[in-house]
Amino acid sequence: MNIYKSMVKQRILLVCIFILLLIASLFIVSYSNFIPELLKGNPDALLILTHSSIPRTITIVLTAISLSVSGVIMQAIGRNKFISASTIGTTDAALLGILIGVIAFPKLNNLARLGFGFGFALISTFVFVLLMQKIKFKNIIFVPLMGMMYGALIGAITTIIAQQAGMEQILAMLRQASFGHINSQNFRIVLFVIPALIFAILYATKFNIVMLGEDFSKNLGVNYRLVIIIGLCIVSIISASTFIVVGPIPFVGLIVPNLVTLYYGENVKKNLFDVALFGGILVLLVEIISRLLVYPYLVPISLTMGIVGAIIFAVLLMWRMRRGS
Amino acid sequence: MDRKRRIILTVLIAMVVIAILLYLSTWLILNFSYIQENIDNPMMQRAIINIIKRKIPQVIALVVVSILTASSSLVFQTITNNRILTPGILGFDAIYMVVHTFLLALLGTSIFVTNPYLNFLLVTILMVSISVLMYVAILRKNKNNIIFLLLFGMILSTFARSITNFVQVLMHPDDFTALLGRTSVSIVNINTSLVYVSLPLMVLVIILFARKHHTYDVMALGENYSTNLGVTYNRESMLGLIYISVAVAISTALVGPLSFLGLIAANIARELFKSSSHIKNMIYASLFAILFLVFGQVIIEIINYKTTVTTIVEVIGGLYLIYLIVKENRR
Repeated sequence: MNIYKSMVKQRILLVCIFILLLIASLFIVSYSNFIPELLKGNPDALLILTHSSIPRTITIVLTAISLSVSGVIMQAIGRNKFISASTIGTTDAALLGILIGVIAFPKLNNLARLGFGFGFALISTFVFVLLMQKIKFKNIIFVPLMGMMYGALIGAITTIIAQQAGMEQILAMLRQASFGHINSQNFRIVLFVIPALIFAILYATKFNIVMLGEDFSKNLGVNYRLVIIIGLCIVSIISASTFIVVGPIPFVGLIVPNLVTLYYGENVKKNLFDVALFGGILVLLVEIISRLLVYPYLVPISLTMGIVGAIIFAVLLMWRMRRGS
Repeated sequence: MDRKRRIILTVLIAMVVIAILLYLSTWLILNFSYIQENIDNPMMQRAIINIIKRKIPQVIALVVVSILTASSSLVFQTITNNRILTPGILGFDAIYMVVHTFLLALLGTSIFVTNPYLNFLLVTILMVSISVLMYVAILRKNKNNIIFLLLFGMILSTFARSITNFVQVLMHPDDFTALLGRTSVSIVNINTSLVYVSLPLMVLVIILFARKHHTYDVMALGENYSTNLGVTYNRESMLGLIYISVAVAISTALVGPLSFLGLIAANIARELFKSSSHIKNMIYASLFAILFLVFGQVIIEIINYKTTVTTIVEVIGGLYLIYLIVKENRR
């Protein structure tokens, strides 16, 4: 009972932190005396709030939650704590798809680009999962290693294609993740993660079962293949839509589920809320840091998260190696 | 050495020579008819001489980089007792970039930054200390766990790249421009001002490697055997690592990061010649590396710079590394 109470307390504390960060994110903008002006009813300040601050914060929260949840699903499907969309090439494939979309049909709108990114991400992830099931690795670190190589390979091919089309600069832009440019017009694509998240919640129990293996899930009457395909679709749509609006944020899908598992144990359904909460806090915090570091300028979040995430992941990796799991 | 291998070696040397000659004369061959028409024009003669003059330091740089990368990868594989890891894969060249950037951000325009030689010296010293630290903290403890080290190297590279970009975003625009001139080196944009400085350094590193080649042959047997055979294993590993850091520093300063070149060259040399002598392997691997880089660059020039050798090395090296990992898994 005591443990349960302390867990509830922890959760309430985390929710409070989340709300505080949310408010901070809304009101940290590069506009002098933002809050007083807002209270005075200055139309400029109001415009910034409705057309920049609010859409941006919505995007941050949705991106953070969906990336973390996609990490949980990926790790359940792959039965491996070291994989996520960014370590098995899903993000790289989404980028390749978007780039090909841009080259082949320059007049495409964002929605059609989303289609390209989603298609490539889905196919690539599917191929990778099939390959991994064929090869059957002894050591669990083999899979993320192969995945990162696979991703690097897709990345190199993307570079070659961009070089052929003279689009290196666009590629460099696409590879940078930032919340700086988001306004009420261009954030809408990110709303596509909402249905994906709903599906994730609906199928949470089944992902839990799939984690036990193919034979086990068949015994429990779960359609193993179908659940995996649905999982891959969820992950791909999340990768593609967050990629188009924000860009690739490294490490979120990898470290958030790992950190939550350390505290609460492994249970997709029970952890989903905590993962979302924790992911939201992490990304909001890092985004606020990158906003304040050289205020009023903005450091792209891909860089800040690359540093913070790499440190957390390296510590996690060494900790897990020492425990021998 | 049997007959077959001698033939391979002869062909290899011939190909390297041809590649270098081709590299020096690509431009002439591509524009042959035009040049033939205007050969009497003194302007044209001067242009030809100028182009060859400009290409000679480049070719020297490519050769230096190839030799250093190949030999340092071989020694690194002996020290870490595996055939998959190379300094490039473990992120040594990324560390070089981090050190360089930080130095510029912190020291600004002091003598240590503006003087390229002093700057190079300082960066190399810092890099040597970081890699020794990394060896003591991580490499030595996890020696049997290559896969962990590979993953660690990749994270380190991501980290290094992020932090380099990060500092670049934060730094003063003037410093940034200065840095860009130093760090945006690549095969196409070789830092030719350092070429002649790096030559004696390369000779020094190669002599140091060559002097120890018997020691490395013994070390390849493993820590216990080599200790029994009278090799101070830890000391030699540390020394070797210092030489490797210097080698990586030189080659990164000249042409920028080339992650997979050492891996490809070292492993192909081992597969083809099946030799376990370090001095021989160093020669073979260096020849392969030169062939790969110089010939690759010739092809790039012929297809009019549609892509870069670095990207091609990345694709081939990536595929090769996947193959090696799958093979390792089977064992």
